[in-house]
Amino acid sequence: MSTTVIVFLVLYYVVVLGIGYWAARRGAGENLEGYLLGGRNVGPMTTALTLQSTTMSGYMFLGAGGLGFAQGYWALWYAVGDIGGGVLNLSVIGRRMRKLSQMLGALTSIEYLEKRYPSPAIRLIGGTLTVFLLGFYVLAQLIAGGKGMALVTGMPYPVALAIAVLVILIYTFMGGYLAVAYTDFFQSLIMLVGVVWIMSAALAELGGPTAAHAQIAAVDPTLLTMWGKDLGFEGQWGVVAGALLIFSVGYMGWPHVVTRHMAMTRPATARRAGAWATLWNLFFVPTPYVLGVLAVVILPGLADPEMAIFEIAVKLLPAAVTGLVMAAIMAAIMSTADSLLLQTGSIASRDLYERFINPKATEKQMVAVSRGLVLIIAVIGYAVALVEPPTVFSIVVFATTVLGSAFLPAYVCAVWWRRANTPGALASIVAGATVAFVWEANGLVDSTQLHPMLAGVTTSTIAMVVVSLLTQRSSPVPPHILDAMTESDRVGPIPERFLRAADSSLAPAASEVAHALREEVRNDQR
Amino acid sequence: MTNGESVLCMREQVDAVGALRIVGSIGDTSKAAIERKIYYPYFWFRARCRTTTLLGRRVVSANCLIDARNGLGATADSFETEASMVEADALLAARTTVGEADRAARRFVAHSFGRSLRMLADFGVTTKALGLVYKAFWLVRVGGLTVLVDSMTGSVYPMKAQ
Repeated sequence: MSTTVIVFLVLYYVVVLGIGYWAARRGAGENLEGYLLGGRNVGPMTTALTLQSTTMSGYMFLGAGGLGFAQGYWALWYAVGDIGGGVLNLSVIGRRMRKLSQMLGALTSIEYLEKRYPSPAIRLIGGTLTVFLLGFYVLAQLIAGGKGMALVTGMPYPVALAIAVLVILIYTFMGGYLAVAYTDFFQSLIMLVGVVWIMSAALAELGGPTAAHAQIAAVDPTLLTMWGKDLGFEGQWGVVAGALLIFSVGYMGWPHVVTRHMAMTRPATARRAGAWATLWNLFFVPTPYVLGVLAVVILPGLADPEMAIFEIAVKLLPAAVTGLVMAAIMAAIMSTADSLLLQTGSIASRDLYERFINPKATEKQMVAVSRGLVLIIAVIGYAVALVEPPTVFSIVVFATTVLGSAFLPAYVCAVWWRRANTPGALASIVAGATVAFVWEANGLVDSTQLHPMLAGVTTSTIAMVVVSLLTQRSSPVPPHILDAMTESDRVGPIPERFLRAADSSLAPAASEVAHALREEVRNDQR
Repeated sequence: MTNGESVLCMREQVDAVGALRIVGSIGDTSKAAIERKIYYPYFWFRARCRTTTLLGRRVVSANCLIDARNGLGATADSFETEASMVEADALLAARTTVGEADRAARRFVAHSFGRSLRMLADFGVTTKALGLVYKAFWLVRVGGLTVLVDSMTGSVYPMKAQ
């Protein structure tokens, strides 16, 4: 690896550190309320790009490229779903979930499920499942970080992996100012510019899109179809549907993603942020998949297809640009890993340890539990990534498929269906997770031609509807939840201009005031 | 005339005329009228956190308000207070205890701080209870609708249509 690459990599981190420091000092003094008020003054574009930077994980830089390399344009089915996934998620459950979680007083997405479907079992099963699956997701980031670090620095993979794990742990335990919105914003811009730059260089190398296609066709024409290498998926609409669903509606079942709705600022900001995110996705999301396809001719005989994007960057870009782009990619991977570890740690400490083991736990004890779990994940992750690393693509698809299958109906019905009750939600989570897991573990996609995501979501949806309807008498939805749902979906005769102007953080107070006024009227009538 | 009670209130930034102007700017000024004024109870805490980041040790403090009706937490900008004589029927009664509110405040501040800084750390949250403080809300009637107006921020929330 050239010295120039290393110098620009270091330069990148200095700039990121500087932005973080500037952002921290901006509202400085001891009274840093701006920090606790959670980016209230951050605009829609920064909000959107911050989100993209922390959700676009190692999957995009390794898994997507690897899939494109192996299956050609078939990989774009995954990209199509992903482009609009964020906006779909926001539109379907965003505003309502924000309001309902405020009304029910939930701080985490698993706590929200328990408050909507009152039962400790919901929290126990939901929390355990989420911790387990997010652990897998983190493993993918560790592998991606290790591989990237090895390529950038030229170090042996075990050493690079150890450094990547260590950096991620420091980021998670002591990150602080490195992780403010403005550094994520900068990072996402560099990521976008980086992949577009690599794509331009790749197309220039091959003589443009038409020439590139001709060269790919000469290697294997089936890579240019939407049916995969050797037309392996031809007519398999059950598999295509799953590939489309996983990163579109699937988002609505990921506890670590839907939790963002609960911290949303104003819904109007969120709507505009959704539009910015879609625009960013339009350019960013398909690019890694297409780069993987182009790598078939740029890097014939590539040993590890998941390294396609990194290798193209190293081969075609000037050293300085490679340094910057690789640094941004590495930073994005670290940032996603950090985000996932935080979610996993806080679910383990708040939703499991405090809720079921030690209800009087001090903050110190809960942090010890979170950090202990994070260390265990890091050690197991390191061992697995070293001994027999699975592909980033397979881990991410496994974790997201099971999460989406388990939780999608529970989160969607929580705000949209008043008859969705606790037994229905429990049955849905357990059945969805089990079917998706069994489908994945036994490779049933080949014999059934149904993607595990499609099988899992269909099962969990049926379970939610059937069990809820059968148990309406024995387990009715409590009235206070129905009231909160009414408040959260209230549009009725209220003029649109008032709904647009409404500050939904006032919803709980408004509900209390309305309740008090009704009491007053009742007392007067007596 | 009902009995008055002296309570600690957040100093209003939006008076009745201001509330009417805000609601009028959204709906119809000529039809907006003040219906009544309600004082809403919050337990007020000064929360203090300290932690060590890669850029050194930081100490941060913030106002934390716990809704005394439902126990929900929120951080707040600095505000001034004043003792006011308020008619008893305009005061909403607190339903949570100061002990419950204190635990909720610690939990909420630690959660918010961890989320904002994106790090797993013991922030050593300490709270100082500053007592029960009331915030005034204007209930403004416009057309068939009642709109809640926050007297501190001027934020609105449509309550009901008849």
